[in-house]
Amino acid sequence: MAYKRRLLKEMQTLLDLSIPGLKFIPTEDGINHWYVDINIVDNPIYDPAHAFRLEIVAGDEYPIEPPMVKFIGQEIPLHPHVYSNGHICLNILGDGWTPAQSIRSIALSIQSMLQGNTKNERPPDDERYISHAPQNPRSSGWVYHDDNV
Amino acid sequence: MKVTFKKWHAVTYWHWSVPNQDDLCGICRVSFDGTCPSCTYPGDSCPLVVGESCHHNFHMHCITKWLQTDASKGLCPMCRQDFKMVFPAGIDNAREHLGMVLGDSNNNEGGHQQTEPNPENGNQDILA
Repeated sequence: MAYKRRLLKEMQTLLDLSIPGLKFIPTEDGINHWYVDINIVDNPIYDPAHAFRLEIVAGDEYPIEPPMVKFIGQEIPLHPHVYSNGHICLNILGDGWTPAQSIRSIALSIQSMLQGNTKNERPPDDERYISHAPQNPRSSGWVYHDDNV
Repeated sequence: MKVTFKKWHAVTYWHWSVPNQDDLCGICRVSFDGTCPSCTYPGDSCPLVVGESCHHNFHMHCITKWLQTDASKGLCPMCRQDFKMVFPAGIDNAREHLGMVLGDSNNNEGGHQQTEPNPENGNQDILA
């Protein structure tokens, strides 16, 4: 992992951060593997008391390549860009990634994506996608067609 | 009174000439005066470059790694403008090092050739 020092720095910041509604949880798998519990307090679609769990895994090529990011757990938030298997269609997790972004900025983007959501629904192709989706959402060929949600 | 110097101990330091000394490389998050993750010695062997239109600085090795990926589309990681690499005046060896990095990239990942930094060749700001 060439950029281990960067991950160590990110870890220090993540542990010190206090952002309302975001809780960064380190894992025993190492500094490249995080859970983020996200609470959405000001959107009637979501229960403010419920924490959605995001899994973030930075690979060997991070930050040149984006980390793997998906929702895990019993309850996957309803959103037209979030599939029921937890995969998220968001350009910064794919071809909109740049190494200037970080684990923190990804968590903030996803939190604000849920906060601003007005549609209490899954993507239209949810069933089709999850029937053949790979384990790692980064292996999916995403098409980013909707900038409005 | 006559003073005779018996011994003279001079100390100098250098830093890269960047607009904000506290800034970090946006890719590795190490200070510009430090090295990219692949290098051991700061200075000429791990030079800085700047974007021609956006003026963002990076360690040359960091930005090269990014620009070599298809995903980069040749854009600056900070502002997504076209990144045209410019070697700030005074960084003589950067071009040579870039050739080395690109030539080596297939089978010698991360193994950039090291040279000792040489503060006397005038490539960095030298402050005494």
